[in-house]
Amino acid sequence: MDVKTISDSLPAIPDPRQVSATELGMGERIASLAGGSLLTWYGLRRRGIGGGAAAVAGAALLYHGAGGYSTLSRRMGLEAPQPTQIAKSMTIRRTAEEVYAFWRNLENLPRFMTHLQRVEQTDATHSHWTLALPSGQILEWDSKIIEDEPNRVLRWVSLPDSSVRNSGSVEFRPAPGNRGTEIHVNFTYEPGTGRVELARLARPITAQLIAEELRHCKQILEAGEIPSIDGQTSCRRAAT
Amino acid sequence: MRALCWHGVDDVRVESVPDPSILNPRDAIVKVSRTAICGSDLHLFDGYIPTMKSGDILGHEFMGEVVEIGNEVHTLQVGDRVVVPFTISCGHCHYCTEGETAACDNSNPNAWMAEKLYGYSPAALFGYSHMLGGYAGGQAEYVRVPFADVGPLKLPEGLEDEKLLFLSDIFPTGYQAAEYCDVQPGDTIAVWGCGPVGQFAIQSAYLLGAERVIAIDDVPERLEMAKHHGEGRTEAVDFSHERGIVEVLREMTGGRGPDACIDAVGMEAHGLGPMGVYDKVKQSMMLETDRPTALRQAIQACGKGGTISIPGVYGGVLDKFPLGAAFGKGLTFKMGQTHMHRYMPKLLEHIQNGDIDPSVVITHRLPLDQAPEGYDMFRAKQDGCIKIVLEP
Repeated sequence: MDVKTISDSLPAIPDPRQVSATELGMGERIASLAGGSLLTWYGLRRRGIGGGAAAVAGAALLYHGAGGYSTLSRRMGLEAPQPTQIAKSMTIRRTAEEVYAFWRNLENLPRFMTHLQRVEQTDATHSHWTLALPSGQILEWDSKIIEDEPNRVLRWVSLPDSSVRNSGSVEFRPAPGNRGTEIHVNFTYEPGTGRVELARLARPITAQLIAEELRHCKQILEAGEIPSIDGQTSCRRAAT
Repeated sequence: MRALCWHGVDDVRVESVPDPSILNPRDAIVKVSRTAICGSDLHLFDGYIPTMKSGDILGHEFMGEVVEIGNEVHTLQVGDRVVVPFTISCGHCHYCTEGETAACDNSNPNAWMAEKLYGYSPAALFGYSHMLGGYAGGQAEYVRVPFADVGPLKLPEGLEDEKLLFLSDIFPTGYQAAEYCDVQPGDTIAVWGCGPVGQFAIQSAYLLGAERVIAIDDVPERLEMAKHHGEGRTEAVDFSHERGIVEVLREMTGGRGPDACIDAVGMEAHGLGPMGVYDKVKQSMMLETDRPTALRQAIQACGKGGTISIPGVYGGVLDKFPLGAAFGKGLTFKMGQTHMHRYMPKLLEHIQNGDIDPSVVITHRLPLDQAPEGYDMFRAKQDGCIKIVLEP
């Protein structure tokens, strides 16, 4: 009995770095696969133009169901792209003052939000954000803090002409007992040029990615560092 | 350096690998003086633990000398002689500050993996799969120890390595198992599994005031070793006894059953009868990952209102769990990885006071290069093997 087969028998452990933000729901996939198979079979049985058209349409539905992407509906202009909205929370064993102060200095964000390359505060409420795509292309935009209630809430939004339209907020609430502070984070990435660019990121911005980044925030604030095995020794030629 | 690497089922090899280095500011590098093979390493050897990668360095019971420290290490110093707990803990999360260091929130870089399987991730371990951190282990000449101010326990002069090595895992593990039994005066504790953890659980039960301890296994030399504890008054029983363990324990306790039962066997228990065949078949079909023979016996045998304490490692899912019997008798279950930092200093004192000599479980001493033979021997329980200590 080998480990791989045992591993495969456990609930699937998706790598958060590979979960796409644009996946279809299971219902839609099943309907596409079933409908696609039927139509293709029907089309192949019939002869002539009608049969050919049916077969092609069926094949496209199969592709849609199997691939799980909304390319088909997008190409046909049937579905307007939805903004990506992510809500996540994390409890951090520090006071609201300490956690707020860490977030309020937006330049700290890339320390744990690894999808960002740099955030630079340009004045009291404005900041310049930089994100690098795997191609090397840099995306940049400016944001403005629109709500700032110290130790309670922070809200920002990208300026209207931004290449990547997005908004974010974080609320700081006392955690029960002596557990510290709960942070409740909301990010929205709007459709538009920015979204297509973001889809090209090696690590798409998903709820799972944001959850990992919040975990990193907690690790920095509680333990002082992000745990890692990158670069450790092993009996493999490549590190780790 | 030389290190013992896992390459697949039944395949461990000692190879030359790069020396470890400081990767994070709170790391230290320890030069290993002694290390050991754990019963739970056999689950890795047998291929029951998922998320292993070929080339992973194993080993989580080790001690030695600090040879390098990172910039943010302040209490540990180069030259300190230390024993290192097998769990990795940050020292500052909610769980660590409550003394539950095996539940540390911050030490596992792959916490998301454990969350998918368990809901939330426990602390990372040395050398025990990527789901639990993927950290290189201590069956090696050198180890990188994260959060070095939190884990390693500084050791006094005057006591040799063999007396202190088992503070790294099995002595605190046996002790926690006994403590979880909530031993009351007059109590009888039954311990399934007389491997090293079971041996320490038995001795710890006496330290905690148990009146009687019954040791259960089927390996003669392990039962023999167990009988010596408690000044020779430990009783030994073979779990495959023809009258059935539940009956045997009933008659040994005047019709009441033990007050608490410790399962120091875990997921690779020997099967018995039709249920054993069932477990084997389901496991080979990957429909069951764990074989809980000892646990089922313990639940059936335990007296009413008693406690089942589980230090034995379980990884996945198991079948035919007699929850009805547990419910009907109002049993309490306590289990989990050891909260090492709670116990290490106290148990060091017990060793210094001469209350216990942990080195008595050692039956074999091998150089690190012979570790693969050690794994085979330990698994087969050949040559009276109970515990193997390795010298890098």
